[in-house]
Amino acid sequence: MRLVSALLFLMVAATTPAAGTGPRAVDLPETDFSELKLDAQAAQRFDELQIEIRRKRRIAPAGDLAALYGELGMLYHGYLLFDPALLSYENAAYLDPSDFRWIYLVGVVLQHGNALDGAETAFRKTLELNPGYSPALRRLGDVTLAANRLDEAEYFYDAVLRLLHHSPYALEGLGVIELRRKSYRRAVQLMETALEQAPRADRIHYSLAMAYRGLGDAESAREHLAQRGHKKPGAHDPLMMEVSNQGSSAYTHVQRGLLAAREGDYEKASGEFATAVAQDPENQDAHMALYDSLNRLGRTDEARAQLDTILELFPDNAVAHYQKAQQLDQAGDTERALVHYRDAVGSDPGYVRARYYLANKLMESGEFAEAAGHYATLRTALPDEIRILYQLGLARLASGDCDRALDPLETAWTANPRQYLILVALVRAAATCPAATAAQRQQALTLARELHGNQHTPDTTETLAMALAANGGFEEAIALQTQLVSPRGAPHLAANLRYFQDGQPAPSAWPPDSRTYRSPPPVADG
Amino acid sequence: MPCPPSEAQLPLMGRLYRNDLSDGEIRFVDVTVASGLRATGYGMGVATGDIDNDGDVDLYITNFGSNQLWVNNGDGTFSDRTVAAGVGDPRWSVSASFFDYDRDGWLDLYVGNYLDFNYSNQQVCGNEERPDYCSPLHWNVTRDRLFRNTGGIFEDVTEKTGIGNFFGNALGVVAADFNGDGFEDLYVANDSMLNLLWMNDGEGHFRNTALLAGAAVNADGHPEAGMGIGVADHDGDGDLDLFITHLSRETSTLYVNDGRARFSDGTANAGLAQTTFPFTSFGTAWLDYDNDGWLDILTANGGVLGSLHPLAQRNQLFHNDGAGVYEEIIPGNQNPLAQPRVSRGAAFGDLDNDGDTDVVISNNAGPARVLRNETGQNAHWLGLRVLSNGRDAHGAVVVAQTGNGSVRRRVQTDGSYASARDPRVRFGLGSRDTPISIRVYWPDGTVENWPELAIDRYHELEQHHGNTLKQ
Repeated sequence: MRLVSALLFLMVAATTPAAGTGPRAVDLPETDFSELKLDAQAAQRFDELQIEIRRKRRIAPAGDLAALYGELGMLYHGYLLFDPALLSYENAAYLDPSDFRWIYLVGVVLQHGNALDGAETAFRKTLELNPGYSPALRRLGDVTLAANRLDEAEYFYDAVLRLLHHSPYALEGLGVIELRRKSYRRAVQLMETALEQAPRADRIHYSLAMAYRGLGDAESAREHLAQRGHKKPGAHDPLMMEVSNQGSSAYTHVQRGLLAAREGDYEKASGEFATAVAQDPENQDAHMALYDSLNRLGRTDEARAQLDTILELFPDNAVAHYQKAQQLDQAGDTERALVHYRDAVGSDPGYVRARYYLANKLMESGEFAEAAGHYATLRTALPDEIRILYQLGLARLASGDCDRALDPLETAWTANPRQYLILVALVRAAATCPAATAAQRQQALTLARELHGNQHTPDTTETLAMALAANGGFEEAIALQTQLVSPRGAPHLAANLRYFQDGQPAPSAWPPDSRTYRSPPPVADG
Repeated sequence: MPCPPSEAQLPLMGRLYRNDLSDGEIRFVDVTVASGLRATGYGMGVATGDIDNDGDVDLYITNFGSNQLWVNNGDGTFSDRTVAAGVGDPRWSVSASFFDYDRDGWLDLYVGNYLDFNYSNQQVCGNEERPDYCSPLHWNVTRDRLFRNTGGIFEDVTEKTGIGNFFGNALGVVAADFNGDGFEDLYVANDSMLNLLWMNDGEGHFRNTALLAGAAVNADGHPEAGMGIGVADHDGDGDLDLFITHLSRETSTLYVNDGRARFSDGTANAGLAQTTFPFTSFGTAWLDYDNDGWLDILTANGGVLGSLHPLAQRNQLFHNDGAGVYEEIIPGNQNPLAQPRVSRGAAFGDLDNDGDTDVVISNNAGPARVLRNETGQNAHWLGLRVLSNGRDAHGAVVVAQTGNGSVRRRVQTDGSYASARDPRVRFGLGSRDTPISIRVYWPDGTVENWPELAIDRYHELEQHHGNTLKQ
């Protein structure tokens, strides 16, 4: 078992109560709570309990000391500090072996850490002390089911049902047992009843689907597969309710939310994050996690509102600006998306993703020069990224900075000489930029011929025509370009033909409104 | 700290090591330069198979970036045939599998692709003080690819076959005939998304049935972080079961096949839940490490997330008790399995030809490890290289009559995580010391048998050279 991260343990003076038999109570670590951001009341309670334990450890009756340890354990447990919680509970159980609560909570912590043998022992002891304690029976059902001891698990879940009629949790457990026994009809009955009792417990649907499949009813199976989720049926557990009420810092709620999210229970996660936000409205992590969980739940209106709240509270939150920009972008509101992309980059100049999207959006909007500046910054951060080099080249071509387009395109081509799109851009740049050397123009022609030889498309044909014209091969260029010109064709094709007929190379790689500039195809996908 | 690469190793690239076994001693020699292999991509994994049916093993390297196909020239050198063959998938690929889905005698290729990640969309999770990797769910997924081999040249049939209809972030890939209809199906382990089970209809189409088949998610209905895949008949009931490795706190998952490609989660039943729960596992396979006739499991472990948790973990070996229940063999401190490392790929094969399965494990930030099996040689065994069209007969099923009844093994090189394995099959015989009869179910549907093969040695079984039982 591992303690929640980043806690500093400092051992304090030994505490060795004299009472009891068996393993002796052990020293408790002193914990650095700074990361938990405890509210003043909770911090005070931790301090008080530890001081009280130290003060009373040699004089108080074992039962009193046990209660203090138990309370401390619940406090730790509530804040998800499992290691000190376990030690505290074990001390409490050692000092007062007659109190079922402490040994039960020992079992709960062990079960959380998947130490199922220890957990089972603890729950059995709980039942010795409190034979009708349904949470212990239920958890014994869980641990024996996990060990695939089906008869024992059935015994425990049945016992729960005798105490809590129609417990959906126990019904689901019994259903799973019947599923494993391949008693599909009985499994269906049990799990359908569980669902009736707890319709929102969508975890049941998967097992139910498998039971229907076993019966050969594929249609019902599919129906339930479509509804499967992660929410468990509720279970009666007053001690754990008490534990949950202990840990009430925003940090704890965020941690609980993250745990729930990891299990796919975004409903529960969003509840925890919302509580965290309510407790600590300044907590950016909680706000962002709430936004994320709402999004994942498909509660888009609420997510949108939450994002607006974040931007209002934390106007420098680069991630929130980026998310807002994405949202607006998807809704087609390019103008406002650009504002937020710019804000994201302004708040965090190292935010590569936001800068990349900003540059793309600027290209789409025809603001090529500004886009080129951003691609150039990205190139510094990611010098080997071919996509950036390619788009920088295009942005420079589009903004009329043709001469400086050659360098990134050549670098991209050298890194990936087989990439068609880069090749076309490089050839066209070399064929149209005044700064291109004779050698570059000649190389462009060689490449264009190879390209056209492999693939006859209007694109490769025009590219070859441009390269020919750049090298004085106007006759051949005219012949090729003529093939492309048609009454309904793009005007620049005819314009380029006229240039060739006048003995001039094409003036630009693509016309200014070309889709190649505004929405360049992704080079990575070839 | 890892050692910096020596000058001789620069630029960093994949290396080819030749096993010059001598007097039973494994000795690897770096033959990268002489072989002509230039695996300079950001390497992820490998798949092996004879793509041109010329009798030697060719190599497909998956990369973060364009993959590479290196064709074996048969003289110790390789030629880059990526472009000509048309398999240079530019996406981020991890695992791939050579298999013959249309039974035309040419090995086709399935490439599992992971995420649409590049340097311009990288993200950092955790917080400022403790940055961490993000969950794969932060990125879009990319489609896997299926390439049909038309005689050394491949055609992309992803869309035509239906493979393009569903996709996830693939890490593990394996081909196997899960419903026994004679056609190879596919299983894809996705990272925190639904796994895919592509059933081959024998007419050139695949249909993903994973969810209803019970092989997409675990018993609780949760998708898990699928990494590596083991496939074998673990319970000896004649069909192929699956073992998928996952993140810690998820357990690895055993999917037990009922023979009709309907699976149930048998993890708890097999005693694998508690023992795998604390570990993040990648490479894996069923192997009979002690040659007692029952398939055991090895997992290569190492964490991925959580900057404060130690990433290095021990690898694990699980012994099959013969009733389908696995017990972890806890190694002594000096045992290499006990050394914590951040392990990833695991390739399985008999490196010293002594009849048991050895393992090569790749580790992050550390050298690969060769784990030589010193246990299996103490029992009797039978080893087979199974050839069809002059090459390893991927997908052939070999059945031996042993003391454990009919035991079946498959010829395969895929599975595990980003690794390729020895295609030879081995049968552990325990104390049985008499010859063994073998039956081979060839991928083209024919069946042959070889009676009374001598044990404790390897044999080469070539199609059309046995006694024909079914044409």
